[in-house]
Amino acid sequence: MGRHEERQEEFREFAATRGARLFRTALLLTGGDWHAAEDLVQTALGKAYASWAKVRRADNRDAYVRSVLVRTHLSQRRLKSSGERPASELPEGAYGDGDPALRVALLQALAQLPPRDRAVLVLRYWEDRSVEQTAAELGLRAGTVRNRSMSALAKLRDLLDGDRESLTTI
Amino acid sequence: MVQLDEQDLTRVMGEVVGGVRPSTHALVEEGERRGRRIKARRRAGYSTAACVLAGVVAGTSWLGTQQSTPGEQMRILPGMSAGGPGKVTIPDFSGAPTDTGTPPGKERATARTLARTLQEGLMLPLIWDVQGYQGEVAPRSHYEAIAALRVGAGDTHFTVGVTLHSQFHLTPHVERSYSCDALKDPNQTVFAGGGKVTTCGVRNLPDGSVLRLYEFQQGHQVTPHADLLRRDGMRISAGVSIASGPESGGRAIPVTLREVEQIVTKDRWQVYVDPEVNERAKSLKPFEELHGIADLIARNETD
Repeated sequence: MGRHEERQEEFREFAATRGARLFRTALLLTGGDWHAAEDLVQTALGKAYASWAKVRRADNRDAYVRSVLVRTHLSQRRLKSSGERPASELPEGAYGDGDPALRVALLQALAQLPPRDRAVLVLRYWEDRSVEQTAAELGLRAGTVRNRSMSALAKLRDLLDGDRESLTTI
Repeated sequence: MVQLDEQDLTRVMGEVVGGVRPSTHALVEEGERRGRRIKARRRAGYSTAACVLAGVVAGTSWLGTQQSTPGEQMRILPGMSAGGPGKVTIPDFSGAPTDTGTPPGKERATARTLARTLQEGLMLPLIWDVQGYQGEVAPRSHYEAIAALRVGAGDTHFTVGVTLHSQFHLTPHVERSYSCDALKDPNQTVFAGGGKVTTCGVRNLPDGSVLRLYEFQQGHQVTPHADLLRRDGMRISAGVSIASGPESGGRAIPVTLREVEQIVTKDRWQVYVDPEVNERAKSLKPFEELHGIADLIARNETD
């Protein structure tokens, strides 16, 4: 097997094992827009493929590609005027056994946050990144991440206030 | 208000998307397809610059379409050898300066500055005009940069370029690079477009640095190239490349082997310059900033 084929195989293996996780992150980032999340992951994987020689040398490939995913999302959000589609349009059955009411409530609330705030929450609480790591991945200062995180969480609480019933299942 | 704290949010997110099962196969397949497209676009973007700079960057393999056929005869230039281990002495780099960062009051030379230095070292007959400049400094810790002038007269156009690579002595198998045989080795050198190296020679200069000169023939045009490894570890290459198609024209290229030798051996090629030097070079117009060329050349990538 030549070097090119080896690297291609390496990329495929990486993408196949990390694709689902990246997609879940993308789904949260897009406020539950399944199609936009697919598109986002495919774009991020495409960028990773095109720069695989660089990605494979990274200390943490997962973090590298996730950072590509998040930055791609933020730059797409700047360019696109149309917003995400509501969570209600999502294909049923693809979500597994989770509570549909809880899912809709959270994704709709996330969708109402500014994209950068959403990215901060997703990285901090879904990806379990520290303030400093989140700051590095988003190209922000740690203090900014701290402030945005607090204010976004408060906003999310407000938005979810009307969904008290679904959230009591937590 | 719902008491959603940080731990709760982590749990809720996990509950909401943790069970999601996307079609991984579709993600990988489409991701790869998009990646190929990005690479194709990138190549297309590079191709113009790559083709015109091809002659400058012998020693790289990413440009490639055709290399000189191994075994083909090339003439060794008078007073020089074929180079390679035993034929030339690679400088002793133990005393080479270590790059400790930008000295106070200096800054890295920009690609425009290199282009300006190149222009100043080129004595073109009046009939030839410099019609544009291009260049790039790769974003790397050591200095890797490329600059080129696009020159034209009537329907004949050519590009003369220069590349600088500091700390080149740290590259593996340096001694093998400074040989004429390396120009036949497809692992080390591939020239864009058809053609062959017709003459070559390697020798040590009085200060110990190693100079390789060669000429490359494409159709009826012969272009000169020079490649110098200085005692401070800096590699400087310069050469001429002709655009393909009707642009190649019929006029003979007015740059000689001697002139490219003089270009690379100038002591003005420095990594760090006074800020006003870069400032002055800003007047060069039109200048096209390249993206990724220098980096690709340095990384010697083929994919």
